[in-house]
Amino acid sequence: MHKPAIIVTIPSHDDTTRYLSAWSKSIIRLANQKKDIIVVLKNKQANPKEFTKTVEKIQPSFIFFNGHGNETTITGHNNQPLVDADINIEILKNTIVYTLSCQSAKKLGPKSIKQGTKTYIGYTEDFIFIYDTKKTKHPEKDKIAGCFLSSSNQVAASLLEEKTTGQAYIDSQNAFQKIIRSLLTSESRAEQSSMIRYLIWDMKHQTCLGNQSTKI
Amino acid sequence: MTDTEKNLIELVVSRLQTMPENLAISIGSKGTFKKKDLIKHVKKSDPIGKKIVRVELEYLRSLKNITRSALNNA
Repeated sequence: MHKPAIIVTIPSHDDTTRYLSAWSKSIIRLANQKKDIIVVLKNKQANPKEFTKTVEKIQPSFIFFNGHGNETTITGHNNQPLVDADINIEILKNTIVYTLSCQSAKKLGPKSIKQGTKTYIGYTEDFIFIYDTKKTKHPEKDKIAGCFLSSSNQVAASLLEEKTTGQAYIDSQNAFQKIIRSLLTSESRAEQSSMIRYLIWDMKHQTCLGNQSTKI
Repeated sequence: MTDTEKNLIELVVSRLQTMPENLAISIGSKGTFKKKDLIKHVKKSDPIGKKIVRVELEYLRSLKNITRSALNNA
């Protein structure tokens, strides 16, 4: 039976990456339950040398990046570039990529598809989320941030459930919409009202490039 | 700055003032911001402030469709 090989990068050097790291744990648990081959590059391990070595060794079918980024770069620990559109984009060849970081689907994503990446799911703008500053010691308990991060992580969850890349993208869009609808139709508190505009922003700027019918 | 831009900034500042003090916003590698910081950025109309204004504009533009969808699925 085919066992997908997966790489997850989870740097954790500031509030944003600590939140992404904490909320990626359910995805890592799901991959472990499925008995997929999974390598987690955590904290300092999310560096260019380790990342390149791991890709060459396990030849992943799916890479799930958590971290910062911009139009041409995805970064790891202390914002070291793991993938640069002008330097090592071929490292993504033959993989399905989901990048939970800012803007990388604007230039890096389309360029990677031209270079042989099967599917690239990411964000064409900054990924913005709201969090509760009283919960920063336990980000996984922050339900406000969870509205953003569980919706976005639905991409990875659906891919692990053997759905196609196109369906994983739709599932994530639906997860965003479900939360937005519930906030609009409930007697929303000030904090909930603040969240809606940013949920809409993330949903609108999430994009799926390349082949929509591949699976990991 | 045009009157429309000034009005938009006033609107965004008013919205931000309703945000509870315990919340912060993460804007990727640009950092994390509390309500007071965001209001300063918006008033200065610097890149962070302009980003927040863009978020508000996109929200207002999409509100009609989102509300219709919410009502249809309620």
